[in-house]
Amino acid sequence: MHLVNESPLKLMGKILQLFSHETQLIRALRGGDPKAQRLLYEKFSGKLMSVCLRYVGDRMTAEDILVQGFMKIFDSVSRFREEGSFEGWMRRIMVNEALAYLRQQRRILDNVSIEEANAIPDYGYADQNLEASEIMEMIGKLPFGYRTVFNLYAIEGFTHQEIAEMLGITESTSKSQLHRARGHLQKMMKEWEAVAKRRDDENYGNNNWSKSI
Amino acid sequence: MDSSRENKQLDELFKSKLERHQTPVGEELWDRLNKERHSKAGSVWYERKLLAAAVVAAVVAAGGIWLGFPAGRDTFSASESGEVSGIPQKAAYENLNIPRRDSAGPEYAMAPGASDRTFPDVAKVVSEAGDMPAGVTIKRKKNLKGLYSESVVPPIGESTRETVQDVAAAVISAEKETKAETEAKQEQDGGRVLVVYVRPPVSRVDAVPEKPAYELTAVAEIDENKAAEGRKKLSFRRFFKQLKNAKTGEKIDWEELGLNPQRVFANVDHYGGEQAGGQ
Repeated sequence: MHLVNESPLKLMGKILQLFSHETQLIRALRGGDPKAQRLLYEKFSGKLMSVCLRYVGDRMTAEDILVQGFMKIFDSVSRFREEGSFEGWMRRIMVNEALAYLRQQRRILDNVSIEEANAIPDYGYADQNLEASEIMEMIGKLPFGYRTVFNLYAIEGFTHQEIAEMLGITESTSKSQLHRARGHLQKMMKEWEAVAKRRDDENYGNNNWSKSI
Repeated sequence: MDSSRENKQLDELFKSKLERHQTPVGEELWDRLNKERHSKAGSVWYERKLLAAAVVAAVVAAGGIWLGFPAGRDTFSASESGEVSGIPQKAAYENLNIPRRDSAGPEYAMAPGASDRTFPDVAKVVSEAGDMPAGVTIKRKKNLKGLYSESVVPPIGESTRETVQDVAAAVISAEKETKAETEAKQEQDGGRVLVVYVRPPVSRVDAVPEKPAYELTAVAEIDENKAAEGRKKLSFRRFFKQLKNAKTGEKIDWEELGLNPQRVFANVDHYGGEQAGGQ
């Protein structure tokens, strides 16, 4: 990251500035300042929209959840205790909203049997070439139950016990859902890898051909 | 490569790629959010206003009921001479406040508008003769004013009041006194009886017979309807005065409202304890 190259004093100054901005923003939000609300929306709506999309899959529903989530954030910002990060708190609200929607739609345990992959993808290659939008697409292809558990465990960092409490399932169910989700994702990654490598080879061949002329 | 490491790699790859991922959001979503917020804020404001109005109405109603409550609820009783049961002694004594001079006179009876409590406690009543037990009975009757049965109120001279400065034991019994026929008759008329027996000084207590040979009876008949009406009017005026004080941030005089929190708690404790003991 470019911050690493900066001097420690400069870096500390930037961190303090960021902290002060966020504190001021939270204070203004607590006072119900519309400008602060707009600023918060502009700053975090993209990220939070991504969270919503990851859970529910379709854009229309994700937008509904985002609106509801922001309303909740504006209404309950006074209850934010500044123990963790404000962004983390907002993400948690969005996740809860998405889970409430899935619970309402009874899609938490909506699973489809998919053949799992045995092949192991090349993670180094994926790290360099796999785009976030492609990962979003892969997650979107998972059945709701697998997707929810994978999102909560791998991305949000909840434990199986917490997931079991949140979703009203047993810990062993959570573990098996995660195992299957990983299997599907590995399979999808392997397929993507094959296509990507073929494309790379073609590009390499074309480049070599063009160079040889 | 073992499976746990593999899983960790997969999780970390997805987390690192998605943590900062953003999906562009259109401007129309902000308009929608704003619209929904305003509609919700309006309904919340209305609900809050309605709730506040309901609370104010409930407080006013409760205050009206409390202040308009007949004060006669707090009647204490003493069943036997020399025994005061079931009441806080100190409170009863403080509230008695009977001047010595009036102990045997007609003024000893309760005045219209005064609290109709009877306080069974040891009162300082001056007896004319040291060995002569004396008593005062106060009766309250409805719709009549200032009538006293003179025959039962013995005269007490100034000199005797001064000579007997020692504390005499007085026992006040309230309600349901059916000893004398006249009292019984007045009870039937809806009156209340307060009997005060005055015993001789402590040094001569052996000479006092078990049952008092002589008792003083004062009957006060009070127009309760008018008194209650006046009390109610006064109560409302005081209530609104204190309400105004509260609004302007001034100190609320609970005594003026007749709501002494300490007394209320004392009564609650007393009755609560009595009921618990009776069960």
